[in-house]
Amino acid sequence: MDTEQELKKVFACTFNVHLENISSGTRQFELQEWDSLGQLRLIMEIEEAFHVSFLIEEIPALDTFEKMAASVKTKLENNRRSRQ
Amino acid sequence: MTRLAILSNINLDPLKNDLQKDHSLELYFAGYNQWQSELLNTGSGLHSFLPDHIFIYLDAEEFRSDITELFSSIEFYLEKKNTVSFILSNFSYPPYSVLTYSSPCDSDERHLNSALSVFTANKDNVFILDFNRLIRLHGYKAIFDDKFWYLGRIRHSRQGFQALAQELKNVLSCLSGQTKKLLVLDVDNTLWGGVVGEEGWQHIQLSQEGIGLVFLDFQKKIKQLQQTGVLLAICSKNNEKDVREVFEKNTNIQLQWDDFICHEINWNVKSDNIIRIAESLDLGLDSIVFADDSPVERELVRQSLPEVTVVDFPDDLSLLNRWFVTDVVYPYFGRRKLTREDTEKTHQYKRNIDRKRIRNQLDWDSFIRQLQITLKVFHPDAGMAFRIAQLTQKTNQFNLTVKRYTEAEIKSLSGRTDVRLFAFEYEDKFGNEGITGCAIVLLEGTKAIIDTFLISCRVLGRKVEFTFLDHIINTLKRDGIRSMEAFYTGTARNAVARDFYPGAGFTPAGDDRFTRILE
Repeated sequence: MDTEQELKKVFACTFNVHLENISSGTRQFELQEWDSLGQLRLIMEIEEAFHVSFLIEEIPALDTFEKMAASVKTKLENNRRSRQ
Repeated sequence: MTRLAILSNINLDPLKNDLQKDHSLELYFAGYNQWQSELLNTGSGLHSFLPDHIFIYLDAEEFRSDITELFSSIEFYLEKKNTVSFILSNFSYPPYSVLTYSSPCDSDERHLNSALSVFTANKDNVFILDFNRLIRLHGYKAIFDDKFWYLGRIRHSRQGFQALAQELKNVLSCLSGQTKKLLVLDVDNTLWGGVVGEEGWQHIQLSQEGIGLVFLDFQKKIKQLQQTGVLLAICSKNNEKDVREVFEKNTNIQLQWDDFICHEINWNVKSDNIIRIAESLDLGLDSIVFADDSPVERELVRQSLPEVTVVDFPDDLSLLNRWFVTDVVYPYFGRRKLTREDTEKTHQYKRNIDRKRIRNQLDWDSFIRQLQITLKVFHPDAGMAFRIAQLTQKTNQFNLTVKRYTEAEIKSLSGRTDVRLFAFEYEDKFGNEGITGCAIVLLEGTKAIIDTFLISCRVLGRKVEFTFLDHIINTLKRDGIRSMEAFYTGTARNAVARDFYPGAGFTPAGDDRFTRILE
């Protein structure tokens, strides 16, 4: 499964909504539960699902699905490189 | 549906991530640091949520009130609503501080937690969730994560929340008494190392060293569990003679053959054997936990009997004993207190098997006469409330309305002048079965309504339900009651009780309602 699809699942599961409600255009506060605390719940789930870690200063800026997906992909790529 | 409210002086919102996956839970999260106003303000969201359980987690460093404020707030809430139960996490400070080597926090922590223990000691509806035990198990660094603290006053890590969610669920199942009754075990590579049919009773791994010691300790733990009232059964693909030999001849064996209430040792499919075990003990499949080292057998049982709880077995055997306690005993067999009936459980089921033996030689009525049953009917006092609540929670078959009550609810019922509680102790020539039936009757003028009437499956089928009901009716008549109303609420399991009221002189009055005029 590609990263975006997997990420959508994490979003849907965390915020208790159907998968169809998550698109690449989804922004923070559009979903009822994606408020500032929801952001932290989401980060926890993403860190666990993808084995990545976010720095404290990165987290507030990741306020759209698109930005989140881009950040996760970069981190996965970095993880892959550092293993080589 | 269990209604659980969560109160704190920090943010515990990520608990939602795990708890929302459990569809039997309805959750309420109080706002950040609103724990006290939610409890004290009768117009608060908490008061209108009508929780069954209130979990309070207070972060020690953020907690600046006096501990007695916590206690008086809880007591205030309990005065309004005494059927709720509180689950209080104990306090923990970080392991190091900038001050001195022996952290001054250690004594603060001890002080707070001992005050907590004193407060909860004599209360039936306030329990401690031992959070420090989770820290001991997982480690402080794994449980807490500063990153989320600085972003949103969240103290715990993902792992911390997972551990807390699981512990909360364990406590809830323990409090509701909805725990499992029977542990079904495989033997080869489960109770001992190796295959007895190939290696023989002398050569299986069961010893004071290495893997043999892992299994020896495992057996000791299973034995302890059995002594708390959990029934054990063997379900194994073997020749019975080989397995018996281990129990009779191997000197390292910790469990006795008779510690197991059933032995299904044959070459049949395991799911069939489990069904046979359940039938012989009159237990529902949903009260069974199955443990087997073989992933294939586990998957087969999981697929053909989805109601049976199948636990994973660790690949690394050194983890076996820890796994058993944290992943099997706590989640499925956790209990708050032991009753006399619990510790006697296996013997009681054994006596039933003896009774079945004479039953097979006699017709039914002479069988019952032969048993020389005596029922001692009485009004249970507050000290028996735990056992009465346990009966309402665990009895599924001869239970007319299947209403479940907590200990606190029974206590509050027993204090009402318009409620009569009845219970009986059963004895026959094979022994005393303890308190094995109860009834709750509501009085409305000269009318009595039977809210609950149940007979434990342990004494079921011996016509004691009629003796018990007669006794209740005679008592009520003496108290001036002229008419009775009763209900039968059908479930998947209580069909055995469907025709009870018509057989006891009641007239059907529609909607599973029955009435009887007392002359």
